[in-house]
Amino acid sequence: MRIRLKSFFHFDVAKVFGHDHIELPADGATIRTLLQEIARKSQGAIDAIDSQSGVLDTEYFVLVNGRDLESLPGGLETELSEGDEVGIGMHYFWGGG
Amino acid sequence: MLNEEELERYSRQIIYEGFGQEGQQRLKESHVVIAGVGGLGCAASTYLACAGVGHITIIDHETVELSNLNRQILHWVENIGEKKATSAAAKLVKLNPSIQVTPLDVEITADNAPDIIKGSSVVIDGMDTYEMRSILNRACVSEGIPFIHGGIWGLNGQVTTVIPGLTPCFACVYPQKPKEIKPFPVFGVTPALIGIIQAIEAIKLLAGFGRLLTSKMMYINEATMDFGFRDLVKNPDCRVCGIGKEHHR
Repeated sequence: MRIRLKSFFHFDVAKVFGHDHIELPADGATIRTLLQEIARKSQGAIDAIDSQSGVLDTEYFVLVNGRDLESLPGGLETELSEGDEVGIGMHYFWGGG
Repeated sequence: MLNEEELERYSRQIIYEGFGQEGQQRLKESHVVIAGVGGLGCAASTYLACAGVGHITIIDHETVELSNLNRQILHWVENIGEKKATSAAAKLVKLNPSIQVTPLDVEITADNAPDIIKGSSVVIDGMDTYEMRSILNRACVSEGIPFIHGGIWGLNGQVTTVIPGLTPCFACVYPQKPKEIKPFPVFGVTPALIGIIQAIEAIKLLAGFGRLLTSKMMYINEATMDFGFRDLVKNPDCRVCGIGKEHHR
């Protein structure tokens, strides 16, 4: 199934995936499996799951169809569906220009 | 009351439904503090001056450098070496002679911030350090003054509007200093876009119409044209606005 990706930091998902979406197996795909796939394909450039704790790294935020992952009861285990849109960003300090 | 010249100057925005002469009068009676006239502050202050905000205070302690000129549109080649506050104020007054512009060449500190912003209607964040933003946020919360945060990195930008007592504050969102990379890349168009969104927020807030970016962070990635919103929640233990409040001064 196709998941549309958005990035909210200086990383262009299209450079890794060649387009703005990612294909995942239709059965049992979750935010966790998506983030693992993104980490693998980006060769660790976007590694949003803390390897020690297994939870979302505090430097990252994830938006699922416009909703913050933190507000979803399923968290990282939230199941994805065809056409879902997932945004990823980092809590970098951003300047005033 | 609006005079004849003002009615003509602002006629195209006065006819906007829900704004009208009443909204224009509110802008005229408002005092906006622009904290920093870098890329964000230049864009925000330009449009707030054009819109007819009656009093704008510009705070900046830096001097204009050549490397600022790709984005800080109120500073020109002839201003290199001048103080940013006076450079920006001179342009804004020429842009709209009917408003009052006060340049303040001071460094914002925890001690002077509350006095600087006291009595203002809203503070626009154009700062470039976490520490300065934290000081301003704390001062805004303690004085009950709305704080419109903007930040940029490369072609990315973010905006949120803080209403003290009602919405999460900057410290709720950033309880600790996040990773910082300096110098960070920036194209002029990014602070321009974000600064103008900050100005739009201020205009809506001051005139009392529309919907604000409160309790949410808006993100824009101009490289990919991705737009998104993240819900923000108040941190009950926040050191600035929660039960963990630290008392300063």
